Amino acid sequence: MDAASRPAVVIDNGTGYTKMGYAGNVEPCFIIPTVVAVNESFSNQSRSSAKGNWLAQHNASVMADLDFLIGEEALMRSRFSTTYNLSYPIRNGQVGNWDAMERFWQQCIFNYLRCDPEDHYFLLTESPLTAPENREYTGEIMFETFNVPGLYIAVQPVLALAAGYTTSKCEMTGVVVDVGDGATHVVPIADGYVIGSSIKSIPIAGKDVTQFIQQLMKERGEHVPPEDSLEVARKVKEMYCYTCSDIVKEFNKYDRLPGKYTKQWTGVKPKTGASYTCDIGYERFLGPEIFFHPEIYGSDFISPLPVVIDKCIQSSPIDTRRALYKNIVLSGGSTMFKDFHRRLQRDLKKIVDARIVASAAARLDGDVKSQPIQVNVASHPIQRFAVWFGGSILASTPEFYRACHTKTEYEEYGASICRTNPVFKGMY
Amino acid sequence: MILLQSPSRFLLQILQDRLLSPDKGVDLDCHSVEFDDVRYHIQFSMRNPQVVVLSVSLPIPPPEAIFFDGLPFGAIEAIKAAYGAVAQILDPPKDGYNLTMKLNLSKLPSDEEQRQALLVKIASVREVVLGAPLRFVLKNLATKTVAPEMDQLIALVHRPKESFFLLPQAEKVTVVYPMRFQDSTDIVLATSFLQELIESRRTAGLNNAPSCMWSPSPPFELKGAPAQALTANAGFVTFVIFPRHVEGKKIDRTVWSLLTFHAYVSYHVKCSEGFMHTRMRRRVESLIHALDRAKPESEKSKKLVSGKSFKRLSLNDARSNSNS
Repeated sequence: MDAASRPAVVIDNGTGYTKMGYAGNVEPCFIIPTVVAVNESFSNQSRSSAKGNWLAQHNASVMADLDFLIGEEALMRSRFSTTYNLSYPIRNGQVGNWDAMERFWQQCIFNYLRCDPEDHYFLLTESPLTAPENREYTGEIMFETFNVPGLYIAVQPVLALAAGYTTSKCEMTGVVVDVGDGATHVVPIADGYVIGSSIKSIPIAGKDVTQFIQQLMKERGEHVPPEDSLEVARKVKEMYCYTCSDIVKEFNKYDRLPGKYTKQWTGVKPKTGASYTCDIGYERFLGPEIFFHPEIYGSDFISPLPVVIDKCIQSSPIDTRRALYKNIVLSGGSTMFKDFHRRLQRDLKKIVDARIVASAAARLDGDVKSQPIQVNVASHPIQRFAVWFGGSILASTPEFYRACHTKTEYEEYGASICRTNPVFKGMY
Repeated sequence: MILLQSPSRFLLQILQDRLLSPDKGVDLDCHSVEFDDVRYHIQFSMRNPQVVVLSVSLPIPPPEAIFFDGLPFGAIEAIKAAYGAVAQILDPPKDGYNLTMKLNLSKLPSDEEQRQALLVKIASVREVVLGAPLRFVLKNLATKTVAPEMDQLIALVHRPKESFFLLPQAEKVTVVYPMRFQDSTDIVLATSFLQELIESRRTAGLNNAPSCMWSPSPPFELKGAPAQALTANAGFVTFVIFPRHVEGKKIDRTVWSLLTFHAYVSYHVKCSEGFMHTRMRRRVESLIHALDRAKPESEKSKKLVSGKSFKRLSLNDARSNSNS
């Protein structure tokens, strides 16, 4: 039977979480943290005796290459054992460690999805700023190691935009605000083509929210065991954080009724097994606030997210700007904070309206009125895996199989076939 | 992970999620494909939250393997024995599937451990259905008898249009796998993997393991087999199973391991390819380091001392090149 008759495998590797499943499904089969726990004791041992006994080295490493875990299991194992080292293959949206990445894919395919990679076409994703060499590397691993019959490397924001494809009519123009765990990109897309020169990227992402919460809790003196504090901060972020409309009002609210707004966190210390509790207060709204007031987090980067989005649209071609303002799409796990889209829309609208008023005042003759600009930030319930869902839709169309790079092409031309992506060809 | 696990992670996760949050207000309609073209389709509807409809499609059997109503020999009995009142087999199955079961979650045992065990069993539906005839033969072996209808060469499907062969006898069962791979690299790796497997079987610690043989040509046990089953590009593997391998609890693992032997080999072939890649990458890196060390001193010091940006440096280089 032909591989094209089976559903394609869609894997979206994010910095924080990897979403994987089969095309045609509404939800990914698995969402697991992108992390690999490797047993280093073998490889270190073999390195120290590298010159000596070849056979001993061979025997030690024969099993070492299979002695690793990924996802939740990796996190669990590394907490209770010191022989495993955690390694995060993706940093800030880019693959940093190819060995770990290859192992991660191996486990995704064989242990989680349990499929034979020779039977399925694959759709992988990449961030818009990926270097062509990385794309070649990905292609090499997929075709050489896993023998996949066909591969398509899609650009994450384009997929996020395609995720809205079913809900509204075919709208492939818009700005995707992709806030993941390790990278935040603002990517304008016109008719399905990425406007490469206007991509803005800011160094604040989900991981920074976690770190900020961790810092706040540490400074306030909550009794969280240090080895657990990052994990607790992550859970607090995922469970309790929300976006407020005005920090000052929110502070007042908390001070007046602390009992109503502060939450309790109960955990168990991993070493002793004793339980502890801590309070969660201002960090509930201060965490997400770093996107709107980055100066409270650090002095390196101080442009708020709405300003960056506005700059991004202003640097795009003039005929696309209105359409871009009209369709701003959120994607990525860190846009899941409650009311995030409302706050973003309000702040952006303020900037745009101020500009219209200013330009009207600057114009001497008052009879030319500019039309008001519609600003619309869309939010869907599937925001967390919007990229995956877009991939699932795309890969279930019959056109997908024609757009793929196939194994025969790879064997004919080599890894360079993965070098370019047609969505960047439209405009420069 | 050295061995493939029997329960499907995908099914197990869905079932567990469902039990943890029974009133999650969504319908679910999910499909999944496993190795060797086993497909699952799982459905929940909000109208009837306690009922799960699970459909399984099996690989297309080759002509020599015997199927009854789209299922292997003894599969219906095996399902009934494994799941009891929880599962109800729907006849005819859904279009395009070989088996459709209605699982009633309210009939799961209330005891936490038993329930978990049953969920795992449901997730290993593949082992129950495809392994039914194999289990039947091995059970007979445990009691050292041969069922009258199963005394000659039996073909069992394990991959689409491919089968492996059993030769049941009273005191042993011989299992023969024709190994086929698509890719030329895979053939080479698999062949050496299998030869290595035979080698390591000979070490002293593995005396009790089933004896295994590998040969590039069909072994004599396959005399009666159809011609197209006798071509295999990675040779033939033969295991001899004795009653001591199927005593008591051991039978479960034996059935699963024999059933997925081909998948096991292909998994390890892919892993070793990955491992070789890792080694090659490391090698390239060390060679690049060696090259860096071999650069003339002047070039290196220029780079370090001037501390200029990369762009400036390359501009200077270009100028000096054009001058010379």
